[in-house]
Amino acid sequence: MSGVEEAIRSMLSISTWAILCYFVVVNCLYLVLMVSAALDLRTHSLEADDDQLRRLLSSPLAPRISMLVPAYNESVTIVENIRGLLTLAYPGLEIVVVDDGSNDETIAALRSEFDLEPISPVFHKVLPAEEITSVFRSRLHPDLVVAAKKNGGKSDALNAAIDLASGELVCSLDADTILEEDALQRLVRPFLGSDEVVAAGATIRVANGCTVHNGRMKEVHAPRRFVAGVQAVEYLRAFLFGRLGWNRLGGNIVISGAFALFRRQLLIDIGGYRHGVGEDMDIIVRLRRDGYERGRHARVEFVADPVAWTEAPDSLRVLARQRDRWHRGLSETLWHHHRVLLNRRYGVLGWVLFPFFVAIEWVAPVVEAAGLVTIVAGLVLGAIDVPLAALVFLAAYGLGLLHSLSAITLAEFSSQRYGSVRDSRRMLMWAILENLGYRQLTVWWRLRGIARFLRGNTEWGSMERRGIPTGEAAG
Amino acid sequence: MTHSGILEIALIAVFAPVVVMTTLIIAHAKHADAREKRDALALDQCRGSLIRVLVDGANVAPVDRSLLSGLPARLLLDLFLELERSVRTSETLSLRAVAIEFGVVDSAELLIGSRRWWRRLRGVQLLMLLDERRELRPALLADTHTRIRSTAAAWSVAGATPEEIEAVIHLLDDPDALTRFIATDTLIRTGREAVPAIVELLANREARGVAAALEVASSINDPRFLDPALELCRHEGALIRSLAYRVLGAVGGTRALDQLAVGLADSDERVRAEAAAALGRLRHWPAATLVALCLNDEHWNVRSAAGLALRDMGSPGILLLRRAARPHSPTAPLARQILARRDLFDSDVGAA
Repeated sequence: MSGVEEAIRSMLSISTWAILCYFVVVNCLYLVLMVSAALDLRTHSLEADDDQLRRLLSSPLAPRISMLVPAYNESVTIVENIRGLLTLAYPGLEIVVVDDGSNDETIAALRSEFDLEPISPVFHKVLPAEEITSVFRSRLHPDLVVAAKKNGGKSDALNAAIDLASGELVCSLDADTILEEDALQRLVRPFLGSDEVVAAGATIRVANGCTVHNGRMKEVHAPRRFVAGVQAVEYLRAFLFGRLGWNRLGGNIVISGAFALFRRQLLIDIGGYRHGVGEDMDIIVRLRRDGYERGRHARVEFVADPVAWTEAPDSLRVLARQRDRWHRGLSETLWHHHRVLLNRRYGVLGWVLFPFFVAIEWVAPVVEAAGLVTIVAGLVLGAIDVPLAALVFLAAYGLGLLHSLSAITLAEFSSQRYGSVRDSRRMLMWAILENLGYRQLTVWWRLRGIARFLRGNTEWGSMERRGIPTGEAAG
Repeated sequence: MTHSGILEIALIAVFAPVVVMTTLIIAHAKHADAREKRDALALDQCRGSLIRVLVDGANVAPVDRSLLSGLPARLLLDLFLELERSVRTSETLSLRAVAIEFGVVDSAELLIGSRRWWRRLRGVQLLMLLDERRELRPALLADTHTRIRSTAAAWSVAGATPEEIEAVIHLLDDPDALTRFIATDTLIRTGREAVPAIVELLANREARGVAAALEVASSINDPRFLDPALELCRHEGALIRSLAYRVLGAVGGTRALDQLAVGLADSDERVRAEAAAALGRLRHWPAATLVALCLNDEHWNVRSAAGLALRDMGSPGILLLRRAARPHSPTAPLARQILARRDLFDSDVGAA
């Protein structure tokens, strides 16, 4: 055996052990998150605070909330979406719809349905956004404000909505998110009586397979199709122990923009949303950085209890675009705020959260891809034996399966459980199948996201949605 | 140890929990399904019995009595909690009588003595909804767990004694934010009965909970708050000062108005904005000229509060706004916005 061959074999062997150790460490950290999440979930489920929630409905102290609804070419669904928001149980809820230069009948549909009257409000345009051309208020629902502006993108529309909003808190929401009636009452809790909380996020679950009636979730079922099913498992993992676990370990640096609550003035102070693909994470990191830089606490809480439902992509093509975008967004945010990393000034953010997201969330697809290549090459060249290769697979996918099952177990023993034995079996099946091809695909999509970030690609791509049919299960 | 040996151990270490968790999930799902179906049937029947009692005012029939007696304690408590939220006041007495007869109140009292906080919480929630055993409230207000204290505070709206009001006032300084919120809300709902205790708290400017007490004062709007609020307008904390000005805006009167005018020149923008807004709410047009000076303030919230206050003051304020809206005036953009303000809530905007 030549010296070069020997060196290659040696390198492959060392790499394999390094990758094995990486997966073991990563999964140990996930175990810590899981334990933290389980403790939080247990406390939360024991509290059962329905009476205190109801009290909010008549309290003069309830902070005013403005729902921010950016809309672009949504004439088909906008009326139904707004009707759903109008039935949310929260006192004095304001809804601010910003039409981002639609070239369909979005504004006409709203005018016709809600009897809009032109108004001239007093507001301070602070955040970067295209010019607002007109503002209306509904005569039927005076807390519904609709603004039309020139096209500028989602972040631009959100900034315009923040400027117009009158609430102390603002809630970002995706157009197709389905909320439970008391979702806001639950999500607002961390803000009550505390100035330290700057943002709060909620659990997002996959609506595919469920039944919706009048904009409300009527029956909860596990998705019947593979693509939606594996995403349901991923979402449980990400929210029930990914986000919840961080509550006790330093807070979160990302909450889903599909349903999140913020202090309006703090969003204005940091300059609102930035244009980009990772705006959800970017805004949270900026809020937390601002807290450290101003010498005050800035907690970002995750509340497991309010659940928002969203339609997950049901085709691999659309899903690929989404995951590519998410990883680009992660790359963009981590790079933009790289000075936070291991910076003493930023406390837990710089020394715990950022290193975790860099070394684990961001690097993971690189390591996983390298692992696959290393193992194949190692086996072919005889540098590693089959048991060692199997150990690496076990560390990567076996422990991954364990974490998925842990998330499903947490859900089963909490208010997040699916309704029936059949649904539980289905979720177990998706958790097992996830590791047989799907997970490897996500590695490829995330690597593509990193590559596109490095090439400076900032496109969103189109997200096709079928919608969840009302009155019957789909997906 | 060889790789094969490590692999064997690892396989067991990974797949044993997989098998255990899978079994746990399926078993729990089956058990929960079966229990839900059983409970739903039992609850349905018992719910029917209780609704008959509430609607007909009838005594509990023997068959209903045996159904209710056979229901597990946790379901009985859930059922009473559910119905209590739906009944009118006239029906509450009937429900309360049935609750006492079936030992629900006694069960709740037993729960309060539990070492487990979540059991004590169930107990206090039920007693609160049925408004029974009020004599237990003082101890609950001092419970070691924050959820018990906050629930007891919420309960204290109903016929609070002076001692209970004092205990709730202490909760304004509770380490838990939600408890502080509920205590503040409770005192607002308690109304004028809480005024003497709040006035006493406000007299001690260094006391913790002063900010929350000022929030309560601004909602209750009692003239007894005037003196302590005037004193707190000189507090070193800007938040306290701004809340004190809010109280003055709620109470009104000559002394309050004089102090509000002084507040327009405070060093903190929150205080200036609060003072301007208060003068607008009180429509105190003699202060219009001073308020108009705030249109030049460096902070938007002060400028807009001043502008809206001038609008609310009527003709004198409108005149000053028109002057401020002259071309090339630095205050013109805001003044024009205020003058052009047109909204559904304005009396001069008629319905189409």
